[in-house]
Amino acid sequence: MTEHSPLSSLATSPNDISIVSELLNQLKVRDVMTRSICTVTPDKTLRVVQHLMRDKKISGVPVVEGSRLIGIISLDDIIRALDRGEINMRVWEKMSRRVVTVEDHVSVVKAIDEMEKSGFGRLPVLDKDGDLVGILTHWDVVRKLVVMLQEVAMQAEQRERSILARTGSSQPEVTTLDFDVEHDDFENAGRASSAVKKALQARNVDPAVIRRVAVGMYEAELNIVIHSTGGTMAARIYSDRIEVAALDRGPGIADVNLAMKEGFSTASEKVREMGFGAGMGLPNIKRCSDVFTISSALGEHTEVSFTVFFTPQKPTPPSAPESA
Amino acid sequence: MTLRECVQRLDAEVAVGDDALDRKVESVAASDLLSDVLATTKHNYLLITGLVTPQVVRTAELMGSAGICFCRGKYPSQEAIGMAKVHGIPLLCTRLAMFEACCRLAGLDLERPYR
Repeated sequence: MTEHSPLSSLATSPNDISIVSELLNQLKVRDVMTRSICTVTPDKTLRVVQHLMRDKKISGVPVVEGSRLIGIISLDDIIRALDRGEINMRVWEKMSRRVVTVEDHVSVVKAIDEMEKSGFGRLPVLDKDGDLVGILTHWDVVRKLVVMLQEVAMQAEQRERSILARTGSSQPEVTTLDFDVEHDDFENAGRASSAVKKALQARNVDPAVIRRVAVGMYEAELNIVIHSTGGTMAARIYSDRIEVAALDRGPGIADVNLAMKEGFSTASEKVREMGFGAGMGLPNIKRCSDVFTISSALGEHTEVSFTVFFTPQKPTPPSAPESA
Repeated sequence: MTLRECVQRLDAEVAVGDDALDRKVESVAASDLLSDVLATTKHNYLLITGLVTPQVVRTAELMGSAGICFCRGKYPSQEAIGMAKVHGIPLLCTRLAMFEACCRLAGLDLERPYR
């Protein structure tokens, strides 16, 4: 899984408090968790755990057999054991076998929900094979957010400085926002559209225009998620318009004219169950935009580009879609 | 009308957005197809739907809808609730089926909805 910086897809204003929410939505548990975990084997005494907690300043120790999590000992367990003179008992005798865990690929938002639901402030993290790969605490999330916000602020400052140096003014002629869109990533589908929508709102663009852009981008983003092997979306915001280009890595469309027909869809059953796949995506994008082009062929990548002007244009005759 | 009035008319439970009930609702849209929702030109509408995925919340956020009401007693998933909280989209839940919910919001007599 390639790591790409989620920062490249954020709106340019560092004062926007929704950056925190966007970050939280993008971050996965594995981006944030502590990987060097203190663990203990079931044969050890509780005294060993007590010392571990004291030395490492932690309040919970997962119990493992190899890389498999079989239980957990909490600070409460140790205090109780000290109270009852049971501190020399073995870990397996006193550990909780039912452990609340979280998987490494889920979003941090979901993990925080789990923490609140279960009441536990620290969750062991398992990978897809069920092996223990890390531990997640509230502090991990906060720490990561602080680091990322500092990077966002630095990047914004650098951008301002280079624009100032180049143009003598700090107003860019064109703002570019780039996003990576992964296949089957429904959790993040719409993130690019949301970020661009906020950027347009910051520029006081007419809300009706913003809605058209948001719909066009969302449909294009969903197309990449549903029908392609992954791709990118680039939005260029000028003073009078926005140009959006959605480019994927394949597999290409066999018959573009058929794809443009309302109601025609190649979406799978699973996708339809989510409420998508009505076959209105491409026609919707065309309807929402002032200029629309699509190029694709089976075995090649697909590119969908559209332009929306910020002020109403004279109606132009609908352009026939180009095919590669 | 306001969201509060919608909640009352639908006997709805507020899952997200207790603090947003004074928000104005200008129209209502009802669908289980996200593409239909994307094609609507309504503003500040309450979306009635049976889809409980986070994608519905994302769609509502992008379209500037006033809120979502899930019908037939459906409850949104944790992820949907998380996303709704982050983007400030009110989520309501009603036991009513979609048709009945629409009738109540339109102020129609449920005993004789066709006149």
